[in-house]
Amino acid sequence: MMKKVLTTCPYCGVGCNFYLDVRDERIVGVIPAKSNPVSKGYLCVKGWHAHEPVQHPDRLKKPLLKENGRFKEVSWDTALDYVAKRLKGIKDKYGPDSLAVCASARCTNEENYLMMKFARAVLGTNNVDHCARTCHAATVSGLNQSFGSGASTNSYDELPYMDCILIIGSNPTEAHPIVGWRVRTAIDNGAKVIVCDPRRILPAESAELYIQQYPGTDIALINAMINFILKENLHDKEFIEKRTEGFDELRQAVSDYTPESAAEITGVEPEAIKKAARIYASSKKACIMYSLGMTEHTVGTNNIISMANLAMVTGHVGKEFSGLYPMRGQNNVQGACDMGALPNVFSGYQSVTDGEVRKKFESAWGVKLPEAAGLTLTDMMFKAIEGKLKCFYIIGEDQVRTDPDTHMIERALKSLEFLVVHEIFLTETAKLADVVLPGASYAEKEGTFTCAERRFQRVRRAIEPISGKTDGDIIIEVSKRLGYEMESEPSKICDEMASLSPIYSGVSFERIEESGLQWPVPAKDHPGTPVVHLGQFRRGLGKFIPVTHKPPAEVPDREYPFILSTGRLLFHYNTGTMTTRVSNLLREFPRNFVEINPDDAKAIGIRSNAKVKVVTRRGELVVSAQVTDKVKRRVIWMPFHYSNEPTNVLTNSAFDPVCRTGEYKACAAKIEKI
Amino acid sequence: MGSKMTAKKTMDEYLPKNAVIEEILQETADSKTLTLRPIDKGSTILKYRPGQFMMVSLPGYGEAPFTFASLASRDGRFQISVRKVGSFTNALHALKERDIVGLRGPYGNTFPLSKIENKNILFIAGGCGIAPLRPLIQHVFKNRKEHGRIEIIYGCRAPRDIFYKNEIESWRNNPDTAVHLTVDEPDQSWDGTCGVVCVLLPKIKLVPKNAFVFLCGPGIMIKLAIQDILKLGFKEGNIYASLERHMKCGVGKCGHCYVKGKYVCTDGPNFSYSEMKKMGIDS
Amino acid sequence: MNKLFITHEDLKTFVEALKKTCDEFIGPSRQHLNDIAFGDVKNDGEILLNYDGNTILSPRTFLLPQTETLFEIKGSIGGKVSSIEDKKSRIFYGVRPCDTLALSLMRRFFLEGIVDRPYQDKMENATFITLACAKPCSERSFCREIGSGPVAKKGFDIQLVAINRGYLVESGSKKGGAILRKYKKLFIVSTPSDIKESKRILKDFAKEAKPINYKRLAGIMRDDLVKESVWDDIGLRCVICSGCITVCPTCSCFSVTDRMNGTSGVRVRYCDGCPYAGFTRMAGGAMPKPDHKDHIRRFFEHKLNVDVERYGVPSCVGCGRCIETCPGNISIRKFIDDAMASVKK
Repeated sequence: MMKKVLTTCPYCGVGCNFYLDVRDERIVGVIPAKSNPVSKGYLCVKGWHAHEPVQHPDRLKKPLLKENGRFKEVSWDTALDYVAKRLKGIKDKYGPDSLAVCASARCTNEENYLMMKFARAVLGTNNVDHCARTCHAATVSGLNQSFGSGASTNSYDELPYMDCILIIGSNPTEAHPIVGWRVRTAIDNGAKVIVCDPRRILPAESAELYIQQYPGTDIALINAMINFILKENLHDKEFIEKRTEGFDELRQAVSDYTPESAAEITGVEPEAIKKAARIYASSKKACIMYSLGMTEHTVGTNNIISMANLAMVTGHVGKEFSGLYPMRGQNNVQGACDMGALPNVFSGYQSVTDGEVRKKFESAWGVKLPEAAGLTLTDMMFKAIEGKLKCFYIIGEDQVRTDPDTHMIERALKSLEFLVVHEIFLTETAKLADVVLPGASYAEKEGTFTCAERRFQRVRRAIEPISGKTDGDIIIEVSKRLGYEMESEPSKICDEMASLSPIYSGVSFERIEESGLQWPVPAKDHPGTPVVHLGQFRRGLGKFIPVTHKPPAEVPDREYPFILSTGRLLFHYNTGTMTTRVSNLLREFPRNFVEINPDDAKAIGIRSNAKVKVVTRRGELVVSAQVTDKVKRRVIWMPFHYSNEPTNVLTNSAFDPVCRTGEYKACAAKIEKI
Repeated sequence: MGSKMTAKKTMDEYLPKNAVIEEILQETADSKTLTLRPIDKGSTILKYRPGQFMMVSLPGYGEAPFTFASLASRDGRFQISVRKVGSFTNALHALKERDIVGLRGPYGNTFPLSKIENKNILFIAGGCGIAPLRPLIQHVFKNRKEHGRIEIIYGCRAPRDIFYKNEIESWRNNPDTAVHLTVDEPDQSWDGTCGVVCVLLPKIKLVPKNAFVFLCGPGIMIKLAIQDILKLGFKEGNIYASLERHMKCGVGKCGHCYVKGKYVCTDGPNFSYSEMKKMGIDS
Repeated sequence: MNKLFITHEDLKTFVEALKKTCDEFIGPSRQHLNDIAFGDVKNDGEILLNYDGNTILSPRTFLLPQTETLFEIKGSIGGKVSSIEDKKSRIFYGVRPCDTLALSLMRRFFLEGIVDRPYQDKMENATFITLACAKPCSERSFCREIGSGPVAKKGFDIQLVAINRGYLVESGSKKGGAILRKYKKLFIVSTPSDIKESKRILKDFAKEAKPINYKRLAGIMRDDLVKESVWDDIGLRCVICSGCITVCPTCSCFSVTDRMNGTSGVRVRYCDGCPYAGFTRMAGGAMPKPDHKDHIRRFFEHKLNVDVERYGVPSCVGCGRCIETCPGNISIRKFIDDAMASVKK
């Protein structure tokens, strides 16, 4: 038997499509989908190998129950009965808010909808969140304040026609390669690309201008650009006048940030800042592309706001060929947010504290819903350590390896009375669980993912679930055991979600069959929205919110003289549970390493490939040094993909006060020669 | 009607055949020499000639190429030397005597045995690079009268890293033969030469004209040594290097070892310097 | 050119009859929207008897799949190994001339010297029916210039050339001749006007194509005369997606790994090749050519220089698939021009 199943890539947030080549129930390869509007027949190296981890022998096949500290395989019924019994017990004893659910940016929209419904309607708590907290929560909170919608403003296909692309804190060629292809095409079409990144990434080599700021100094850089734009009279007066509010406050706030004064903070020549400002402001079609280099800071939300300010000052938003492109890191992190796997909103960003909204969901679901917003993932960990949170239900996430300050996360999870984890491989987090429920990979389920350009796309089943159940099935069965029946058919779950969420009203499996749909889709006959804020911002007038530079929570000092920043490699994905199981990917980068500037390396007396110990106030790690001028002096960089050499034992859990995202991108470190 | 199709029976070249590890010697801190005996007595692998290699297979770890490190004994045994450099060699090191490994081969070309008859021969080896040359050295000593003067230059990082210590000493006992050793990092026991192999070149007493040179070792050693011996008057066509490349199949299909039209596994691994120049490589 | 002719209707009958004679009938079928891909249409799926464009992947994916099991392993140390044979008879229908040439080059490669048993198994039991092209499949293909299309010269068992009232049919092998004889009732002798029509179609197709002097190109590459800036640019563009080596109908490189489940498992080979640093990196970490641009150079040199010396033709057949899938916008076609322009005539 041979079949080709069109589906959406399970890795980054770009949303490429390919066919899984299935022969006799084995997936033997992938075939790129040329007709897909996102990937158009292109794939990155992870996508080309996306079939390999699915049927890897290490896949979990049976539920695991921990007895006396050791896992044993049990039947589904035993596991599910046990989980239901424990959840009920904890809820009865400590109340619903002693439980929390971590939904998954790796799962489908339908599953995320079920998870947030499970938390709210079945467990009775708004304690539901997911890993957007550790990546783009700042985008949601920042862009929401400025524009009234916390997602990408424009679409991928505008990129090749831009005159200027300002890339800041994002490495499209490695982290989002098929958007990287569009950036490449833009350059080939003559666009001027400005790369601002503490690390000299590949696009910098082909850029018009490369700016190497210190990690955590982005607001100073952007405010200085705005300052210079205003001084040179390059701002878009008409746009500011008609479409925005609060301009005077902004002008006031940026007046202190001259390119010269910013140079001191950022380590960037004033001339480079001026040049960047001039190119961006005077280009007709200009956009900003950013990613976790902007969000994963204690000033993450303000970083996003500063970019929104820059875009509005120059009128580069709210029209075609402009805007802000937050590059989402995971296949469905956009969707998990959209589906309301967040502590403060239902699907479609409808506030849980809004009585009308709550009433609508209560009548649809037939239960009374909790009124107060729940805990963020960050706070769940603190509450667990405090002993207030007793039970954590995690779906497809490896907090131990992904969250900053590993040792603190381990302490939090070990403090729980009961931990349930859905996983496809036995991750470090799963190892701490009381019950591990074997979930299903993308290739085993029906549903939808929403990519970074707000496009719903179909995920289709190529093989039967290896464990016998998808994550959705599991939720439904646990829910049933707790006395609440849920719809199990993915297309009908989607319909239910659409009927309750005005911005997705027009979404259905039937309509997204061909090329997907970009939300907002407020009606069944609405064609979708490639460009948001056309003519008017979602919040009415775009709001200038003055923001000021604040250094990272931890800055270098005599003891810890380096700024450690972290990021992704082309060949790996997050904690590497899938990519390290693909021979070709693992072979390219089999081990963790630290990048260090040649001058610093010389001062310490190390050469490339020498073993060094990287130490921060939270932990230490022995890795090999890669001596490279990709990073400037005093800055070191590490990837975070290696489960057995986990970089996050080093990173700082200090977080943004608004969106609660940890500061992965800057902390103080020292390097010891071994 | 056409003639009846007769199915051509092709051997599956990728299927390894079992061999037993008869003996394990700890060669250096990170290297072992294994004595292997193919279980099938008539195994074609035993027909190998000096310079050739085999693919060694371990279930769960895949395969890796190893040169024959000795001549075959009359009872059908031969040796390989294994330095720990990765997961496969780690797994090989974990094996015990009487354990079984899979073998395929012999593969690759052999040294030009007939050409070197009655000629002077210089061997230059670095580290575990002595292993591929050892069968040839054993061959020339076995047929000592058919060869001219023989000199062996062997360099290692430290005295403790020298392979085949006892055998090397016995080589010195051959007539018209010199063995020169050098190390980069001498210890207290060392009273010999220090430095890279090239420092020993001025010591050789063998007429370069018509002499043959065989080299094996790290790429940088091969490159530098060839530069120096060319200056001494050895001929490009008489200098042979045994090359190392990433290999997966051994039979010229997988493409890893391909260099400008040549497959190191089938056209090599032993190339004359004139061939190497055509391939655009110096090691 | 004494060709046979078959009508549209009879071709359907022919294909239906052939389906019954094989284990798998591999033909082009429409997937999502305009995507065309080869698949087994023996029992279900709608075959495209004639189609514009080309399939996303070439038939290589059936003869050398992206991942392929070589043999089974039972027991870890000293375990038994046994070959997994795939001797299914397959008829490939609708193979384009570029891919037909690629198949004959691949056949030579895998069956000469030490025979590659898994490839031979499949090749020996395969029949190829080529469908000549009536118009260029994409802006990026250059079969006319490299000389692989729009009709195949060899490498097929049967070749069809579409004309208005049906197809001209020719046999290219004994096997093809036998098939045509077996179904001779379906074929008639073509008329001079049929031949004239087909010639006109093919002439229109190749109208603006200027043949690439690939012998000269091979010489330029052999003598290392391509400007370094050309390689530098390619090195900066490549983002190591591995798409080119996966879609290329003549890429044959692979790696081998074991997939064990406890003490039993399989040894598999999977697509591998030039773009990866790890492809040539040795166990100890040394790399013969550490610069990334040299990895792509190796790819181009193999296709455009070495194989010209070995086979007389380049093993780039001009299908354009690698260009269409490259996120770095690297074009082997543009490279050819740049390489030629490196040397003044």
